[in-house]
Amino acid sequence: MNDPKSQDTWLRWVPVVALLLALLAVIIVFFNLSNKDPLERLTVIVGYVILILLFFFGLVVIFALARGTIDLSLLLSESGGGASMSRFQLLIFTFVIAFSIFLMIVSSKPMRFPNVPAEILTLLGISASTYAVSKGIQASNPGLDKTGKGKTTATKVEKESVEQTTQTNPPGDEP
Amino acid sequence: MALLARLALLAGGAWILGLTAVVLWQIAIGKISITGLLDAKEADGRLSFSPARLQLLIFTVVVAAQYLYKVFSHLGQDSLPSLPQGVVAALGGSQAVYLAGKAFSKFIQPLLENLK
Repeated sequence: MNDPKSQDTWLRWVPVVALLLALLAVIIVFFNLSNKDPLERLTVIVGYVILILLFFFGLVVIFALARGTIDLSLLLSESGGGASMSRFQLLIFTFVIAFSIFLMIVSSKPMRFPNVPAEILTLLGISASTYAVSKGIQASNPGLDKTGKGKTTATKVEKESVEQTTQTNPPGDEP
Repeated sequence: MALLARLALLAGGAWILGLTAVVLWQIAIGKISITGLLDAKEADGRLSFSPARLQLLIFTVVVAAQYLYKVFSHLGQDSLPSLPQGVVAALGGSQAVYLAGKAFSKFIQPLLENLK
């Protein structure tokens, strides 16, 4: 049975391990490239240190996502409840484009970042704009949600105006 | 430097795959809810199946699958494969239909109900 406290203790050691590995990389590169230009050595050392730190940072984030420490349960949810189609679409396109770029980098010789066509940027822009507009529509009428709670905006406005009229002109207070 | 580049690629790829796997796994077990993905709310509060959402879902899945197939066919190129202008226009139209349906149910339908 997994003990959450033991898992937290293990995760606390991750930054220490990352720093030790970075230090080890610095020492190895320093002695292996002793005959190289100092600037080149510095470039390689900084590259390894950044890579190691970013790798462990990414590892901690992935573990936090998997364990639920970073909560993804509302990732696809609308503000009023229920899943959002625009968020789902943006998620799919983001993963597809990211995976495509990674495949193109891996397959190119020499490795380089591929050109991104305007149509792909337009696709992502349309998807993101749809999400933003959908969110705006949802936010402009928060009384309506998929759970069936709340009232329509028109009904809410009428009720508020009746309440205000009652407060300013209470019964029995007529001229 | 070549080893550094390969290690960076490996780390980046592992991270993207790990993130994708976590998100897909949480959707599969229900931790990330997709309940109501194809539902829209009527003016009377009832949830009903939304054809606009279904067409958007179908279009999204088809475009994504077709694009991934194109990427696998164009490995080793300098640029990502582009999409036909017609596909982008059709996607824009699909989004417009979805947003129009959403705006109608949020703004117009309640007013019509109140007028009744």
